[in-house]
Amino acid sequence: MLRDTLQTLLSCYGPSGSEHAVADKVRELLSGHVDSMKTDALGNLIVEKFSADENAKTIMIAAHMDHIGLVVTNIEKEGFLRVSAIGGIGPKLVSGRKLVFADGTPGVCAIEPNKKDPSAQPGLNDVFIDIGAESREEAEKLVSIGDVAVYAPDFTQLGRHKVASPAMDDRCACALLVELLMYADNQKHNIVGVFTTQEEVGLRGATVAAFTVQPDIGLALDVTGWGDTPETDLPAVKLGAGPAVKIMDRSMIATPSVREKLFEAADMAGVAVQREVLAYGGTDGGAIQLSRGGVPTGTLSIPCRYVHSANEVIDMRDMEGALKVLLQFVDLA
Amino acid sequence: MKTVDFLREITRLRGLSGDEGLVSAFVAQQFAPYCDEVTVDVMHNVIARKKGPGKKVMFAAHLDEIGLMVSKIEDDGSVRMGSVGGVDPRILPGQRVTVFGKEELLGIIGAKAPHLLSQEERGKNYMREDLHVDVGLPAQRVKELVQIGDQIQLEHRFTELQNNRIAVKTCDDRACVAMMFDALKRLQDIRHDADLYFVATAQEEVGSRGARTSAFALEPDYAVALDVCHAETPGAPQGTMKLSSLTASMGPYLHPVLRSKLMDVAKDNNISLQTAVVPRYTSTDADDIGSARDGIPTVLLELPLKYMHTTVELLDGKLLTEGGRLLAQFAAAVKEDWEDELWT
Repeated sequence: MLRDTLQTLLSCYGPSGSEHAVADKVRELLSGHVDSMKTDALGNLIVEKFSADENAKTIMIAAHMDHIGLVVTNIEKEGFLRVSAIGGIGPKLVSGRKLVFADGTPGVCAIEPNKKDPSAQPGLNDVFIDIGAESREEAEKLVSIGDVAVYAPDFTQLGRHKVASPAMDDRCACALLVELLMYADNQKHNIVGVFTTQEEVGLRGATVAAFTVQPDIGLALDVTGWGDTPETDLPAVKLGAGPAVKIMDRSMIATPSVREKLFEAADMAGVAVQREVLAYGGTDGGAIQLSRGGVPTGTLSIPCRYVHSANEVIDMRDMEGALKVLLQFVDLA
Repeated sequence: MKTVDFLREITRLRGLSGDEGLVSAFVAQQFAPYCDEVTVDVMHNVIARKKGPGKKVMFAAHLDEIGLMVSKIEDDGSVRMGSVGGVDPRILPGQRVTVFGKEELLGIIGAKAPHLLSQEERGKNYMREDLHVDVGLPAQRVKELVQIGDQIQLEHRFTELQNNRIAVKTCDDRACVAMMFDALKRLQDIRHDADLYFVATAQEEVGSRGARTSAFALEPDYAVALDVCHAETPGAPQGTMKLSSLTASMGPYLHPVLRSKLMDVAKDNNISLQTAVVPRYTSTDADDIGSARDGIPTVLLELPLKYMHTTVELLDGKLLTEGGRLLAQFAAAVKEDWEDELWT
């Protein structure tokens, strides 16, 4: 079940650079369903499911395992932790959140008050993590410089169709890719599903994986922005109105032929899709498209509210729709 | 085709970054009679090869253009615009545009009448987000014909001014593609050892993406990137260039010895070159070509123009043929033994 797979993957710890817990879980889920699984030097999990068709093309489909976090840069003598960002995370997003380290050590995040100028915007250097330690020595028994904290798992059903959780970006896409690899059966093309690392710090895993895989076609699965909450109207994408086919973002202008194939697949699968023009952000698609001499590449997006917050909200109907589109896409002539 | 006519035709064609198919087809067709093979790759790069037994030399000028894209259709049928590359929002009000929906629709970008501006608004420039395209149709009809992601092209008006000056959209960088075209024509009558690749690259305006992949695929020994630079205008900061002379840039991203070879060729052929100092990255295809694979010695030749990223990019038309002459002579001058000098 897509929902169970999603929940399982959301429970894993996996900031950029330390994604192995997610990879292990994916291996477990896919065991017996695919032709091969291997992990490369950057931690990408590369999963193959071949077609029997001798004219099959190789489609690389990427979903990133990593999520954003805070890395400890200093431990103060009172036992509080100072941090720096891993990926696009800021003081407004982290303040007041519950965090967790790799070994399960919990912490809470706070911002020091600015007494000189109470109206000033805080920066990440005003942020600290409180792990309950009363001295540096006590803190050092639990945490070292370089350890990374992420939002603590917190899966919540919202209304009938929507769910909220940290790391929805991009575990929802990992869940889709797992389900695609499980259920694709006798499909026309070879699927190389890559569960990528370090997307949030610059598409690094996908860059090297695409070089290794040398696909004929690339596809990234990722979340996109939303335009359906108060005072937010761009991109013109709504939750529950179907997955979105990316036209462009900062990292990629989708190859027109791949984009059209996605529309065709959606049409054949009877799934409504949206068209996405995103003025910010990027996906692994940007790295795949520019690999070697260039790879025709597109991105299928799951509309997601409050991206990079601890409550990333998606609509399960968009997920179900996306899975149908993907199953069709790998089977298109 | 005369080089100036090539420029007139190529600037007319729609080719936003990432969707350059039409302009690639035109370039491929025009280059074909003058070279041994022409291909268009998956990125829409046009790769025109003129064979030779010697070193592989890549010339690169980008064929994509900045422009607008439909980002949303409002309930009243107004078309909101996203930007592909750095479109200057100050030039948008008053533009005539074409929206490439299911049909080609002529549109205008209006602006709030001055009478209707608040005191606060009067002191501010327009932002793209405040503007929209008006195609005149009722909302329902707009929604039938136009979709998110459709291209919006700014108006093409090829304006020939006094003194060989030409002003038109997309001189950045199709004027340099025209220089390559001119060079190819000249090379019909000039002997060259080098194996020449004239590449009209895609997606430069969004980060030299076509240059990066084509440099990987071709693996040239040397490369010459061609782009435009800012010519002097009143009030322009120091470091802008004279309009009527090509520019050979120098800086850490560019190969000093190869640059001196280019300067020598210019001198031998009485072609004047000015020098621009680029202390960091060049923000041209040169950066991505130079760092492709294990590094490719690359130089940057620039064509000065005024009013960059507007619809009236102005250049001195005689530099099109002067640049063509320099490229052809450089291509002919490339020698096998340069290799030994380049890294000393």
